[in-house]
Amino acid sequence: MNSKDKILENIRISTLKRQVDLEDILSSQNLTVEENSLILLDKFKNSLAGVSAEYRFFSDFSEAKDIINNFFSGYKQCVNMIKDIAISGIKLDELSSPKALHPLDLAIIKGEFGVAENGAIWVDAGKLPDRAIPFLCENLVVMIDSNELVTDMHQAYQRTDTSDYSYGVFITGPSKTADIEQTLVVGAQGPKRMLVLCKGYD
Amino acid sequence: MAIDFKQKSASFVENKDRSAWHDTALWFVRNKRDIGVMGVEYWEQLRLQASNIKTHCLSNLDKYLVEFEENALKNGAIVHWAKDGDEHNKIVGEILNKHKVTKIVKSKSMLTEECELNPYLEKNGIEVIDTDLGERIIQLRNEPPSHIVLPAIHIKKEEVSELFHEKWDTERGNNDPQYLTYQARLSLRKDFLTSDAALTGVNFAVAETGEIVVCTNEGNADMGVNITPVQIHSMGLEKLIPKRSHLGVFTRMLARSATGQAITVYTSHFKKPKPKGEMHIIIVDNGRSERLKKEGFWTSLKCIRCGACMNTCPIYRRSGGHSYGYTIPGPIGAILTPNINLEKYSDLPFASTLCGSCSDVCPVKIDIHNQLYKWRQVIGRNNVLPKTKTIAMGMAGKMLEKPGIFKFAFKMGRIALKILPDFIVYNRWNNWGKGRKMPEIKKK
Amino acid sequence: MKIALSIPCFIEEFYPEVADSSMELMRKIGIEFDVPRGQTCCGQPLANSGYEHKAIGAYHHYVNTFGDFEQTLMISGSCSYHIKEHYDVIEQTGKVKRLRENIRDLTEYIMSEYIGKLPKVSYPHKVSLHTGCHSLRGMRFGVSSELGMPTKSFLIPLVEHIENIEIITLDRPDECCGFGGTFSVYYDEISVRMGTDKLDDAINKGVEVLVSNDMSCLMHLDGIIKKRKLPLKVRHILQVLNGDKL
Repeated sequence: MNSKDKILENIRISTLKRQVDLEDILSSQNLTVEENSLILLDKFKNSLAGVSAEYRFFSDFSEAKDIINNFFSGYKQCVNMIKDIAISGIKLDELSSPKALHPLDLAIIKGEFGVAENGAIWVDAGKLPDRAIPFLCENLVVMIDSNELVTDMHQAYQRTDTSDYSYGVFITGPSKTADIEQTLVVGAQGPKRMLVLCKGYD
Repeated sequence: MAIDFKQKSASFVENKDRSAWHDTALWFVRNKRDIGVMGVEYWEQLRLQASNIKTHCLSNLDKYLVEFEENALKNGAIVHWAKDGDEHNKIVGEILNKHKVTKIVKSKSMLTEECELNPYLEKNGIEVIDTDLGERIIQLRNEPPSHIVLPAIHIKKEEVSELFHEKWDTERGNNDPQYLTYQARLSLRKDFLTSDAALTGVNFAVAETGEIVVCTNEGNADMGVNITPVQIHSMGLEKLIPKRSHLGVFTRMLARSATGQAITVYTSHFKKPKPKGEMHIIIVDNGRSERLKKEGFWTSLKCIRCGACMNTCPIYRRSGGHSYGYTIPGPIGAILTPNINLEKYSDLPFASTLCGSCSDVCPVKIDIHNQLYKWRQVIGRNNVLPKTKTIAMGMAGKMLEKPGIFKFAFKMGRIALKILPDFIVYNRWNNWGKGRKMPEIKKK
Repeated sequence: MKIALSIPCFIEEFYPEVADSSMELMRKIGIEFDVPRGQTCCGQPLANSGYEHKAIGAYHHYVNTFGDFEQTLMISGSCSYHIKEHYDVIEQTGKVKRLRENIRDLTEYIMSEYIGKLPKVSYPHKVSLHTGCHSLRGMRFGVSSELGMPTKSFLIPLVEHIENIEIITLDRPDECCGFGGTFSVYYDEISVRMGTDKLDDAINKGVEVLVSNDMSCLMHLDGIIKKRKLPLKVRHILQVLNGDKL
C-alpha cells in the first residue's frame, strides 16, 4: 500500500466513528457588520494608516503620475502595469528570469478591491507578467478604485470567489517584521514603502 | 532522556532580569492581541465557527483530503503524500535533486522543524537558508526556535548585533533593530537571488479549490516562491479547511490571535504553478492520523499555530520556550508532545497551573487545560511519572479515603512543623519552603 | 432545604478563622446548614498530579459525606470546580449527579442568592480582588480578560456596598497567582516567581490587602509575603463581608 492509502485508511478509523455534519451551523450565521460606503472608506483609511501604508486620492491619471513622482523621486528601475499612468518602465518580456528584476526601485500595479476592516488589498498577482514584482520592489504603488471596498474578510472571499486566479494575494501595507525584540521595523524582505492610490474623492 | 522541565525552567527563571524581560515582551504581545480582538464584533462567535469548521473537517478528513488532491492536480500542482518525517524529507530531496538544486530558501514552517528537514538536506549537500528574520537568527545561532510565531523572542538585540557582526561583519555595537533588520535584508536578498527552489509552510489548504494559503509579514514566502522556478509547500494534513469562504473566518483570527494585527501583511493564495514553474504540495501525516484516533485529545489537531497560548501562558513566559525541549513549546506543545513520546515529555503536561488562560485565548477553542489534565492521568496510569512527583503522592490516595488516617497524618504534619526548626523545614521538608513560609497549623 | 457546608482540608488546618467567619456570616444572613462529620479532601491534589485513579476512594468518600444534601456549599471555587468537572469518572449514581449539579462555591452562592442581606460593614483599606482561575475560567464566575468582551469579576458586586473600601485593579488582574496545587511544589521556582510578580504589582499600586474567594491562592501568596516580609495581607472575601477587622 502506498503512503496515501495508508494515511487515508488510518484516518477512516476515526472519521467512520465520528459522523459530525456541521454544514448547517457553518453557513447559518453571518458575522459581517454592514456599513455604508462612507464609513467603509473611513475605516479603510484608518486601517491603511495602522499598517504603515500611505494613501492618496486622485481624480485623473496625470494627477496620479504627479503623486507618484513626488513620492518616489529619483527612482531608476521601474515596472508600471497601469497603462493610463504615463510612467515608462522596463520592458518585462526581455527578462530572462525574475531575478533580473533586481534591483527594482518602484512597481506600480493594480489592486482589485480593498477590505475596510484591515486595509488589505486583493492583488491578482497571477496576472502580472512576473509574479515577483510586488515583492522584489523597494517601493510599491497599488492603485484601487475607492468604490471597490468590502467590509471584512467574509465579504472579501465572497468577492474573490468568482475570479479564476492562479495566484492571488491580500497585500496589507509594506513588508514588516518585529523579530528583534518586538520592535516594529517596516521593510523586511519586501517593499519598504507602499502607496495606495485611490481613484475617487476623499 | 526525559525532558527535565523543572530543571530547565528553574535555571531560566533564576536569571531574574532576563526572565522578567521575556515575560514582559510576551505579555506585550498578549496585550496587542487583546486590543485586536476587542476591535472585532462577534469574536466569540467567530471562535465558535472556527472550532466548528475544524470539527467538521477533521471528522470528514479523508473525504476532504481526496477532494483537495483532486483539485490541486487539476490546478497543475504535483501532490505527494508522506506518512512520516523521513518520507517527507526524502520527497523534498528528490525534487531538489531532479532539478539539480544546490541552494533552497525556506519561509517559516514548523512542520519542517518537526521533520528535521534542514539537517537532512544539509547532509545531502544542499544549502538551506531560512528567510524569516527570526528563523534566520536562530539558524545562524544553530539553535531551535523558542516560539512558533516569534522564533527569536528569547534573544536580545545586543546578541543579534554581535551575531550579525560575527557572521556578516556588520557594525559592532550597533543594536538598532532597524539597522540590524536592513543588514539581514541585504544578506537575505543575495540568498533569494542565488537560490533555485523555495519551500514554504502552509497555513490553510482549501479542499474546494485545491489552493494553499500562506501568511507572512515579511513577504519572504512570496519572494522565494516567485523568484525561483521550483516551489514546494509542506503541509500537515490537519491544515485543511473545506471551503474558500471558511478562509474569511480564519484570516480574521490568525493574525489577531498571534500578534494583534488585523491580518498579516501578505495572505497569499497559491493555486496554480507559475508559467514554466513547478508547484509541489507535500501532505504530511507524521503521527497526525494516530492523534485523530484519541478520544479526548484529537481536537488538538484544530490548532492553527497562532502562538496565543504561549503568549498568555504565565509559565511559558517565565520559563522560555527552550525549557520544553520541543519545536512547539508552551501549552499546545505540552499536549502535542505526549503523543510523540509519553515518557520523554512526561514532565510537560504538569508544567501548568491549569489556570485555563490558554483555552480561553485559543481561536479554535481547543480545551488545552483539560487536555493537560487528561494527559496527566495517562502519564499517571502508565507509570511514567517523574520520580519527584511519585514520592509526594505515594500514600496520599489511601489517606484521603479515611478521615481518621487523614486527620492523623495532618496531626503528624503538625507535630513535625512544630518541632522541626525552620531550617529543616525550609531545606528538607519540601520545595514549598524555598520561596515561601509554611502555613501555620492553628489550634482549634 | 438541607444545606451542607464543605470546609476544604487546608482551610480547616491552616485557616480555621476563615471557616469560623464563613459560618458566622451564614448565620447572620440566615442560611441554615450542617457541617457533616468526617469531611476529607475532594481529591483534587491527587488528580491534578496524575493520580485520578488513586483518588477514586476519596471521591466516593466525599460523595458519601455530602451526597444526601440538596445543596453543598464549599468555601472554595477550585475544589467545587473539581467536583463538578472531574467527578465524571465515577459511576453517575443519583447521589453523584445531585452533588455535581448542586455543589457551589459559598461566595458565589451568597453573591447570587443573599447579596441584599449582607450586613453593613466598613473596610477602610486598599484592596485588590483576586478571582481564583477555576472560579473565573472554570466556573465562569465573571468574564476573563481573554474573551472578546469587557472583563468582569464576580467579586465586584459583593464589595460594592462595603463602606470605605478602595478597590485597586492590578496591571494583570486575572493572571494566575502561581499556586496550581502540587504545581507549587513541583515547580516551586516558577510558582514563586508568579506569586512574587503578582505581589509586586499589588505593592506598586499601594494595595494593603489581597482578597479572594479561593484561600488556596492566598495560602501560596501569604507564604511569599511572610518569607519576604512584604507589607501585604491576605483575606478571604467572606472574612471581609463578615466585618472581620484586618
